[in-house]
Amino acid sequence: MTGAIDPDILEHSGDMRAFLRETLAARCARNPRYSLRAFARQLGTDHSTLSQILRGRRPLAVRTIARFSEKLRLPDSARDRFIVAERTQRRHAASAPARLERLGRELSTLLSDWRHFAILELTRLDAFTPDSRWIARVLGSTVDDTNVAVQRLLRFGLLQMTSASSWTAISPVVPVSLDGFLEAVAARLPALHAVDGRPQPARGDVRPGDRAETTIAVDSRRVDQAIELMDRCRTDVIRLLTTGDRKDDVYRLSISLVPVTTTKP
Amino acid sequence: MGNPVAHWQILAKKPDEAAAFYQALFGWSVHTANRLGYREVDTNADGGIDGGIWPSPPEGNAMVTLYVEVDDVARYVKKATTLGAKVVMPPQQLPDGDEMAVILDVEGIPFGIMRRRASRRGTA
Repeated sequence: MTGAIDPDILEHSGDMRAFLRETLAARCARNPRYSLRAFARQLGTDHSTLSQILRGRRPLAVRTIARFSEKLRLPDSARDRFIVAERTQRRHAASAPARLERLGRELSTLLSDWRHFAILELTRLDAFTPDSRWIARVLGSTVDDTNVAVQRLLRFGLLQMTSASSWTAISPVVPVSLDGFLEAVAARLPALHAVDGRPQPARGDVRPGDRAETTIAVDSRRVDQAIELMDRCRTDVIRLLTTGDRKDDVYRLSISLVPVTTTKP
Repeated sequence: MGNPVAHWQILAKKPDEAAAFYQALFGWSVHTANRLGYREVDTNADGGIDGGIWPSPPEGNAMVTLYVEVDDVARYVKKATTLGAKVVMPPQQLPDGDEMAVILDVEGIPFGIMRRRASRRGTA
C-alpha cells in the first residue's frame, strides 16, 4: 500500500524533512505513477510548498510537523522527535556565528601556545608517560595549563587517550562540515610551524624566513651534530633529528636549538 | 544498573581558588594524587555524589558539568548523536582507567558520559 509508513525509514530519519524525502522516494520507487502532488495532497499542503520544504528552502514550523505527523498517522514519539530535531537545528543555525567565533579563539590558542605541539611530540617518545604531572614537569609547565592544553588537543581530535597507558597523536580528520574543516586546518598546522610564546634570543644575521620555528621530538645524542649543521640547512637538521632510531627528548628549533623540557623525560 | 548521575565537575577559571572556596564552605576534601593531577572532590558525606574541579580554558566558561554513568560510553555517545546531540569530546580512556566523553544535549548543554574503571564500579 503506497500510503503506509515504512518503519525503517521512520526509525533512521533524523528529522521530518529527511523522513518526508525518503518516504516520497520509497513510494515513487514502488509506484512510478506516485508523485509529489499526491504526497502533498496526503499531507494537506500544496506541491510547491512541499517541494520547498524537501529542498530545505522553507522552514518547518512545529505546527506543520504536528499536522504532517497527524496526516501520516505517525506515533507521538516520532512527532516529538522530529519537533526536537527541528528546534535543535534552528538553535544550531542561530548560534553558528557565536560558535564560529569561539572556534576561532580556540584555534588561535591552539596555534599560539607552544605546549600543544610539544605534548603531541612528547607522545612519540619511548619514555612518554600518559600523566599530566609528568608532562607538566618535563615541559616546565603547570599541571592546570597542561590539562587545558591536553583537553584542547582532545577536542580538536589531535590527541586520543587510547588506553590507560597510551595516548596517541592522530592524523587530521576528513572535513565534513565547517567545524570539521577548521579542525582539519588546525590539525595540519602543527606540522608546519608552532609559534612559541617564550622569549627568543636575538641574533643579527637571522633572515626573516628563519624566524619560523618548530618543536620536535629528537634523538638527543645527535644534538651536537645538529648544531653544526643547522646554519647550512634547517630542513636537513629536522630530518636528522626525526629519523633517529629513537626519540627521547623534545627540542624547539629556531635560531638556536634548545630543549623545551626542563627535565629529562 | 540504570544510568545515574555519578559525578559532577566544576570547570573553574581559577581551580585552586574554587577548591579552597568549597573546602572552606563545606569542609569538602580535595585530592590530586592521580595521573591527571585532577582535583577529585570528596564531599565526606554519607549521601550524594562526589565530583571534581578541572581548569577551564581561557576561551571557555566557568560552569558545572554532570556525568552520567553508563556501561558502554561509545554506544551511548552514538545513541546521543542519533537523538540530536553533538560530540564535544569523543570517548577517551583516562590514565586511571575511567572512560569518558563529553557531549552537547539538544539544548546545547554540555554533559559527560562516563564508565568507571572496574575497581570503582558500584561506588558513587
